[in-house]
Amino acid sequence: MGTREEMLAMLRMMMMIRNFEETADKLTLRGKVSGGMHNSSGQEAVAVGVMSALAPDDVIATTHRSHHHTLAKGFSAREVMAELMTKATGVSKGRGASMHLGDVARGHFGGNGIVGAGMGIGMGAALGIKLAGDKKVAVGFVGDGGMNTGRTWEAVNMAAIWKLPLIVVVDNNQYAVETFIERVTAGGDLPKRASGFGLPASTIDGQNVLEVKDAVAKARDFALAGNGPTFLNAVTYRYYGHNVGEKGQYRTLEEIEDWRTNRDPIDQLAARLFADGLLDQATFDEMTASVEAEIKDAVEFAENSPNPDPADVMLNVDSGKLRG
Amino acid sequence: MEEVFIPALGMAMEEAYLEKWLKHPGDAVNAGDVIALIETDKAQVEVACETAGTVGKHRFEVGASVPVGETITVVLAPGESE
Amino acid sequence: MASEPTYSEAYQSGIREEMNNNPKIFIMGTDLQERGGHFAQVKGIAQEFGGERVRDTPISEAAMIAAGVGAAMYGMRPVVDLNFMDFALGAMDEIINQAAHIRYMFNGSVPLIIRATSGIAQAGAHHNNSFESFFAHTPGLSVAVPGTPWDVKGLLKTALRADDPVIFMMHKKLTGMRGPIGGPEDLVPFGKARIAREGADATLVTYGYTLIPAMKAAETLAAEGKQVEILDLRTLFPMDMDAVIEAVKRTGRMVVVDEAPLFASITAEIAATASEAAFDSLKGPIVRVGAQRAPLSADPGMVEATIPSISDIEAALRKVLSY
Repeated sequence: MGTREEMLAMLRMMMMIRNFEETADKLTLRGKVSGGMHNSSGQEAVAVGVMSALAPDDVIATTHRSHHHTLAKGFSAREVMAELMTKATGVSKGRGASMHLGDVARGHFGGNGIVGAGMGIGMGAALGIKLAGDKKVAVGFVGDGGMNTGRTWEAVNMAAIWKLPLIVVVDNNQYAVETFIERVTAGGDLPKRASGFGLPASTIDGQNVLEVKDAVAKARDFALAGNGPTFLNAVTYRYYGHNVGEKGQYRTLEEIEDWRTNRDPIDQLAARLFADGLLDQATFDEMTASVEAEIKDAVEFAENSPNPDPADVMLNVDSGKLRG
Repeated sequence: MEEVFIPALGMAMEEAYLEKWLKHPGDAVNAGDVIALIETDKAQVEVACETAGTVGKHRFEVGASVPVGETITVVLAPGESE
Repeated sequence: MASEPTYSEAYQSGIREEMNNNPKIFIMGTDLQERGGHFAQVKGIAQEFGGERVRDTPISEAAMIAAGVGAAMYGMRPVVDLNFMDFALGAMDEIINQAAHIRYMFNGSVPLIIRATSGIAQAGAHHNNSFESFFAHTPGLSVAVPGTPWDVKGLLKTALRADDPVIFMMHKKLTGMRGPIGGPEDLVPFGKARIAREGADATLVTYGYTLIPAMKAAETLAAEGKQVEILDLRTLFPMDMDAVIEAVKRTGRMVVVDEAPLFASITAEIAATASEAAFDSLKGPIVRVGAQRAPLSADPGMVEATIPSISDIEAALRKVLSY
């Protein structure tokens, strides 16, 4: 659980991510987001639950769908929105857009256009942490699609043999683009797969932010005690298509509606806080209004920011130290 | 007033071909009604409105190549005008 | 007097000194601790520095490079030893999409050395690819191709003190080559070619093992009264194009040789750039010598037929000398 302030902060962060994504989706359709985007609406509890259990200087490395992870990590809506519009004020100085959000100095080792690759980098960060003797963990996010690429299991194996302080979080929205995971995943049981490598592995409710937070907190303690990695399969759901504008026929409207109506992570936490007397309508309305204002401000900030200077194309290709 | 526009639907899409108008100036529409059919590099796509109201002027003729993000018509709420 | 160190021992010497200087440097790869690597390149290093800093890995190239990338981003200085450069193909995403591109987007650096033995020897198609051109082609990567023990040590030290991903290619057939090596502060800069042989009549540009047949060809030509200058590039990116262009201006005749397939190779880059920059100084076209565009056979005769021979190099030199 946590204090009332912590619970309200989690709720607000999930609301902010939802508003951000729905706003960004519209801007993308309007052609303002270069290269499109991957909407994480529906998956907020995974990101917020994980980050709520981490220390600020723990490291994350993530996937092509990473707005929610990035915002929950503490990056501002302004700088993430600006990055989506490839503005110089963005997280990646306008060079990455939706799929490549990252700032190494702030412990965000990048979104990734390659399935499974971010998790491998998270594993490497965990090796760095271990060798440096630091008391931190790394979280490697991977999607359900990444459960069937070889590099994922190479990295899990390496983390296990070296007892690295890594938490593998499967942000499992159940569809690899448009392919239902059960159609393409032999054995059908991801924790069973992972536990074959000799590490604790379990499935958690990715719609329940408190359950996610609790599981990650345990995994973090486990790692800090030198016991090595943990594998968490957080089952969640994305409300929108794989990419903005996609209207696939691979799942039913009823299925989407069921998740939205009965298992929404924001509704669930809000209902619980209302029931426990930790949240009242006035506070909720105030949060809604402040989130709207924050995202509106982020859009204005992004739209008014400059694009990167084309004269800087060759800047930071490399350090220059080897070119004399 | 809702602007009905050509949606950006892919990383290489810059414009769409306006194939057919299904709603015309003055038509009453409901949220979700298909206003026009467009063709992108990948597929035929229905462009629908999100609000109920009255369709405004067609800003492009059938056969036009329209840039992504461009407004092709509007849906007017009662009392609104273009 | 003790004999001079080998190419592999030069590597050991460089890595040992730098590991003593910088506790962030560590090595990982397969069969490093006991075997010392497939080319004895780290023999004895694990015994000196322990298993945390010389890590034996599973045969998981993608995870090896990913581990290096993540650890480098975190602030360590990993050396991933792939043993054979061909094995990089199991980690090409990690090398190209990740290691090479992170600095450009993510406000961090990737000081990662990827060492492997490369070049053409025996054992067929899966251990004898020439990947110099596509690594040099990739923005963000630097590529070292030392041709002497001195350069192995000096280039390695430079790479370990910089902040970029470096592909460090050591030629199989040079493994036992002996020669002098520098001391702890004798660094060899990247992007500075070396004149391996002086000569005023023509310039031959090459790198790595090919220096040896090139030198023999130059001696044959010397017996015929023509002095051939040999330029050893030492690194392919950054490349010392200034030295190449100056050589064109000096001798007016140029041959470029390596053992990679000729089509779309490093030699093409050199010939094209030098021709554009110094056309007026050339007495005739720059001539390139390289391998046929065939996978490497395991049969020695087939290998000889695939890659350039000394007489191919001599023929190219005679051709430019005839202009």
